Amino acid sequence: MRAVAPGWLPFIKQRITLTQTSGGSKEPTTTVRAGEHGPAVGWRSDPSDPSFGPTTIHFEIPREWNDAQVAQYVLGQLAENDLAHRIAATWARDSKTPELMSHLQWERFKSGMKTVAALAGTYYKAIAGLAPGSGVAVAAWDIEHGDYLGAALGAAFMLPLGKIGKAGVEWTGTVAIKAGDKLIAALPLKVIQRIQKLHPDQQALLQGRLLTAKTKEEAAGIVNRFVNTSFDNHHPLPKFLGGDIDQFTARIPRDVHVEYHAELRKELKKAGFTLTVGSKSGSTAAWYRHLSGNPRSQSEAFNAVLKASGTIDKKHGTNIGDIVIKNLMNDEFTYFP
Amino acid sequence: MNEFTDYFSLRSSTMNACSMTHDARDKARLTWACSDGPHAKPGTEAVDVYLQDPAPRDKPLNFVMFGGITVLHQELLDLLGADNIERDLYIGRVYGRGGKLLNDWVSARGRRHLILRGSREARYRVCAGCGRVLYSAMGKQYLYPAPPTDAAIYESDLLGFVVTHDIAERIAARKWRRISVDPLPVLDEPLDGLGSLPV
Repeated sequence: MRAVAPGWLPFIKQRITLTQTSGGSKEPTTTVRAGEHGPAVGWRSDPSDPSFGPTTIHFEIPREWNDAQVAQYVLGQLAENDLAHRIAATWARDSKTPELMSHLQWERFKSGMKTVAALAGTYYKAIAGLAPGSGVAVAAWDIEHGDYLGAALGAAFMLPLGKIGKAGVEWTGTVAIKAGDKLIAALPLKVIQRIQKLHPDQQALLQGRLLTAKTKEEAAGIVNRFVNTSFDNHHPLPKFLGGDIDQFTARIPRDVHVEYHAELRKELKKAGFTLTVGSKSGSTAAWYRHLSGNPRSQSEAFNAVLKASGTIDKKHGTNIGDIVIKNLMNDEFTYFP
Repeated sequence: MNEFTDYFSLRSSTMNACSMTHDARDKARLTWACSDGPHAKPGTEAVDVYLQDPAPRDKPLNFVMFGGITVLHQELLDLLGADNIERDLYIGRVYGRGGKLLNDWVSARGRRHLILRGSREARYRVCAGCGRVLYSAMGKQYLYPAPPTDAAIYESDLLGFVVTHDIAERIAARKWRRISVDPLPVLDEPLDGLGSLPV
């Protein structure tokens, strides 16, 4: 190990035990234990859980292996064995040795992540430096190419790792966020999975917002705020103006939705509508009567809708205006001549 | 409630009116709906409505945007009185999303139709397609002229009903959030300056 990976020697001294396999077995084994001689830690557990105390890694090595084989096996296990990897990664992080983190990650790449390496490519080391301790970057999501989110997740979960390896990736993995050649941040896979569940409109909105990030902290802040935001299903052609319940809707943040309706009220007023929106005097029935009795007033109201949508889209990066037009083209409303 | 008024308007304050399916709209245009606007032709009686919505929201009173057809929940219908319903209303069925018959809801058209007049920004037009008077106004609401006295429930142009005092009292007692029951004075002269509207 001194020759192959000298940086790991302090870790090996503190946390690793090497013994020969019992019964002359030719297969090496890896076991993580609580303390030095405690019970084995299950693969689903978090080895950094304080209840385990300082965890240790026990390798049983076949008698006939040479030093090079042992070193290769140990380093390989630190990369591939999920528990061992987490212990080593935590140690590398705590000891503030990013080169060990990088080494660990590189080992992990070498051992079966060729697809991912092709995706993340030269950004890999930059990611390690950018987000030490955040785990292994398993894919890249280029926010200048929206579809890459799906591609990144596909690559992350199609790795030939088996159940344990996949659980490990899910637990510790990160996805590099890139904008073309610019590396913005590395986000945990769990967060990325939440993003994947968002409506395509929401993903597009997030991408637009991420493009404004200048630092990894800004990017992380944008994502955190975004995934914790409540979203509404907005009907871009307002129902009180004749919009159908079943129309193309826009998933927009709740605060943006509230702001939109304030903007719409303003535009309707500017267009000369004196009816309020909501309450008894501004009920949908009142609007129905107004639109029926005043020819072309619905088209004037829809112009106000387009203006309000444009204002909000410009300010917040939403695409309400496009959906308004799509709904108009598809006749998703009751028409008042 | 105003004890000294004979008539009361019954209207929904919903912002979630129902949407009719596209298919039902096409069929309605061939039968009871006017070809020049999303309203029923004068004289239209019972209408079955087919909704995009799973069921009408804001119980117990709502309406369908296409056609302006009022829909009532059974709990409201029960307060109107069987004789009144038999005499004054034309009752139809309501189908929710996927064509599911909604047994708790009915559509209702009135044998008598009243326009709730207003006090400002009033105007009207006569629909070129069906001759229906389409009125709009803001401000204070009232009746002009006095309604015919052969009914206790009238359909109103605000997609609700005008009802007599005893019915209004029963409904107001239920304190439904999305329904308003307001007294409607009958005036000798309209406040909107439009005089008598065409019949």
